[in-house]
Amino acid sequence: MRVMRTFLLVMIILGLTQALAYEPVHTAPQAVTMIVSNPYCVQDVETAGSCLINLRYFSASTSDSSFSHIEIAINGKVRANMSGFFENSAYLTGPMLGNGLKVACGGKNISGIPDMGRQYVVTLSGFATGSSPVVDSANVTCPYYQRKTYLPVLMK
Amino acid sequence: MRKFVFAGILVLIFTGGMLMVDNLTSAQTAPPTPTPLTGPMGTQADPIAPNSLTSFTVSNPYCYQPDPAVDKCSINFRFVQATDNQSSAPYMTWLAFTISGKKRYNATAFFEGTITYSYDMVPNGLIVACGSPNAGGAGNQYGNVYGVTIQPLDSSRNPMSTDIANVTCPAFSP
Repeated sequence: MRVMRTFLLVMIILGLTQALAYEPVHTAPQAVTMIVSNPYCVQDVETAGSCLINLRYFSASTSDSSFSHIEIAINGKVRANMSGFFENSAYLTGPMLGNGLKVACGGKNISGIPDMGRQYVVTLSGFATGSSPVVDSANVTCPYYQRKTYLPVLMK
Repeated sequence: MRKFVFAGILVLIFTGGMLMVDNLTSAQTAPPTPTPLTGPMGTQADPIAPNSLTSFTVSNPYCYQPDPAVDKCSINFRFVQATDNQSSAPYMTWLAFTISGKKRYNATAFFEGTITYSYDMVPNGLIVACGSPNAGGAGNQYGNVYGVTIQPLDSSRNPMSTDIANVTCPAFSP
């Protein structure tokens, strides 16, 4: 009877040990590390209704080969994309986007901010395979566009 | 009492064995180590002509849409550099970029054995059509997907090395 009890005890402990030992081991996915600078909006030509959104730099990387890509979106619309083909990282500077990403400046006070134009949500995202994207968002407010109406000069 | 000690020893031996097996299994399922890169941020030197092309470094190409109201996107690279040893044939004579089979950039090695490209050499990038949402099958936020090829070429215009990337552009959805 005692032998049976000991045998049962050993079997239970072995079973538990086996269950613990065979617990699958998953490598933790690497999250993207992002370094971003402040986005800005500029109205390079005062008489134009278009503004330009840009940022000084945006870099992202992973410590392993899971790096996928980075995106810049304005108000939910993707405007720039860099994939990690040759590197496990992406590095984007403002001048790499030419003059910047064009948006409408908007009329005076349109966003509710005095003496400013439209406000945009700029989203910077970094993606890696097997992990959730890392997302940074900022509200960027543009200078306003003052539409001028020129009346014809009528000569009598 | 003896039986309990014996049972304990058995369990310890079994646990040790299981842990060893587990470690071996973990080692086997570990992700493969990526190929080491020789350049500061790019690809490995060409294995076909190692005595001629000493380095070929390419950073990630990218695509952006400067104006969402226009179906024009821009493809560019931060940096591309190819260096020839200038002492053994074949000699690098050109560096070419091809987008979807069409040559779009060609630099000549004339005074130097190195050809360097920087994004600001083509400030507005190489203009392509953005394409309608999901045109390249990458989702509604994306339009066309372009095959971009970067090649140092010898004097007979034979590639000395080739780097290819698929570049996905934002969609044109006014």
